[in-house]
Amino acid sequence: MFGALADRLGYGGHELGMGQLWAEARQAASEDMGRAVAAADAISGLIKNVQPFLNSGTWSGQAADSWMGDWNSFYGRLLRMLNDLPAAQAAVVKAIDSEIQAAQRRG
Amino acid sequence: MTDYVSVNPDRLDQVTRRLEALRDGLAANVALVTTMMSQYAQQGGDVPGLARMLAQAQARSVRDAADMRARTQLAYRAENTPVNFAAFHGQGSLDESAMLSIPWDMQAVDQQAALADAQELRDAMDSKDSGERIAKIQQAEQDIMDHLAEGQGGLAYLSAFYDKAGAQVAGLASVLYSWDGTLKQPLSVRDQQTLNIFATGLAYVLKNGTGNTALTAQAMGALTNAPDMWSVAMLVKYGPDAKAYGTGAGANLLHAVSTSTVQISPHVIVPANDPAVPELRAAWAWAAKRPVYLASTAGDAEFTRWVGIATVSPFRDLFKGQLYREFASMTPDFRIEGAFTQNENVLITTGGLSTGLGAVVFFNDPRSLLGAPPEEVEKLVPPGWTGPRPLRTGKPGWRYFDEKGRLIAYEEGDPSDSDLGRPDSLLHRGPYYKIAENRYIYRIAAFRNPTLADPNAITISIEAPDGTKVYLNQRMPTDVPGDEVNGAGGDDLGDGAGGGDAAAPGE
Repeated sequence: MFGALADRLGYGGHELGMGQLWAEARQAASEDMGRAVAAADAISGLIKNVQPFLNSGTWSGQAADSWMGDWNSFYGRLLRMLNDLPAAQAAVVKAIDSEIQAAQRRG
Repeated sequence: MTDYVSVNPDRLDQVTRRLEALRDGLAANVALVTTMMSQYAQQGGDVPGLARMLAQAQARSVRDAADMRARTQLAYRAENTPVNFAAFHGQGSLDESAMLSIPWDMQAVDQQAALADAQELRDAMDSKDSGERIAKIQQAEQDIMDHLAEGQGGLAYLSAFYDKAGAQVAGLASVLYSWDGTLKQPLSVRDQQTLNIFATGLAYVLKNGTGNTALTAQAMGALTNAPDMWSVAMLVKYGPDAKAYGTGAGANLLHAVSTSTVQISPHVIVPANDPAVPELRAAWAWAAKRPVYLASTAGDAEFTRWVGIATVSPFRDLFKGQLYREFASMTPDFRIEGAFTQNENVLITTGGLSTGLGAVVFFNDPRSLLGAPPEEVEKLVPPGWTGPRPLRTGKPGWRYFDEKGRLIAYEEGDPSDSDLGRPDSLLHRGPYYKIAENRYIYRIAAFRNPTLADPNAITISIEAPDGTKVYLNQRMPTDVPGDEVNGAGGDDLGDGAGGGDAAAPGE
């Protein structure tokens, strides 16, 4: 798997020393997931930006309340999932570290 | 039942702006998140269910933003009605906490918004303030484009709008043209763009509307039987391709446009899709103010005026080709005056300013019917004639006749007719006109007759009272450069045709 990851990142695998290759692959994966987390944060910020206006100062009526309840429920679930993305980023880095250690043990 | 909600327009606007920002933010970021989760899924980079939730969010964010924008616009419109304006802007200051009532469900919002937009279009077309009318028409354009972008979701609004504004949309080209003030230039590029947007929305409704979203008969009537069909023709001309209109109501509209004529003077009609209709109207208005001396009949005066238009008016450039020869040459066609005097209509076409394919069609000159569509020829039938009646043969077509024995018939012909070896056999295999007058019988190739595509085919046959026949290879008018100068571009039916001139015998 690690070889495939290195290929995808464009390292080819042989010209560089293996230690440097592993370090760069780990950093690239961390940065990729970091960009995903930043994108998720941007989305979370935009969701939270709507919420302060969803109240009785904006509207009053059963149909609007129903729409607001549905919106809050849906985006509440999405926010919770987006909040899980930093943990996923950490899991990716940890998995790559494990693969590096396993490769080093194999020698 | 429609649910009404009290809203504060400014705060609703804030919600809308934030929903639009969320929509744009999702569009910009979702792909990156899902791509990375997929790429590192084996290392634990995926959050279960997040990709699906993001896809759902992206879809609903577009709908939420569009719906809330429509509600906000409706709320602002309601705020600006006189009864609400005082509540919001009373005592010289804005009451920021004031609420007003609007429907919440989108069908009702679309209905009310379309009603308001239709009213604004009416106001714009009646307005003397050019800034106001341009702003309102541009707003209507934007609303149409926004709802077209929604696809099927925009159909309810578009249907309601065209249903309420059918008459205004039908008259839009005419109004845009008149605003220029000169009545002597084509529609501007901006006008053409406006017409394109209005026509595109209309075509979408006509093609896709069914049941509640189909236009009512009243709205269709406002379009297919408009007071000024030229205006509708220009809407269609600058609109989308014919296929965008579909095969039902849209096809009916296109057919109405292609077969309609407009009256220019008491006995002159012009196809509605002739681009020079407004200039011909202006030309007639110019001529109608001029005195005509020594005219013996009203038809004589009308003919004299048209000759004046063709020779000395600012509009004389419209007269090209046959139109020039008939009205502006050294020998104008006095059979046209005869038609006017006999209360018969004459159809003229300019072919537009650039083509020079002007033509005149009238019964006193049977060859002029060559290639004409039956819908136009029917409009030349003088008032008082009997018809339309079915053909005596039972074949498809129609006939009109008067008590003097004159007859005009349209026969669709039969492609499977056997070839009897006569020179005009091919003529009988497609649509043709049969005219009986002064004991002469003329058969003339109509629109879509196969002889019109064959340069060697007989297109007109004339049967004299003694039974002799003359066959002519008459062609449709074509642009002959300079023929309006020497008047020699066309040939005449009567010359050398064995006394076959329609109007000559018995006159």
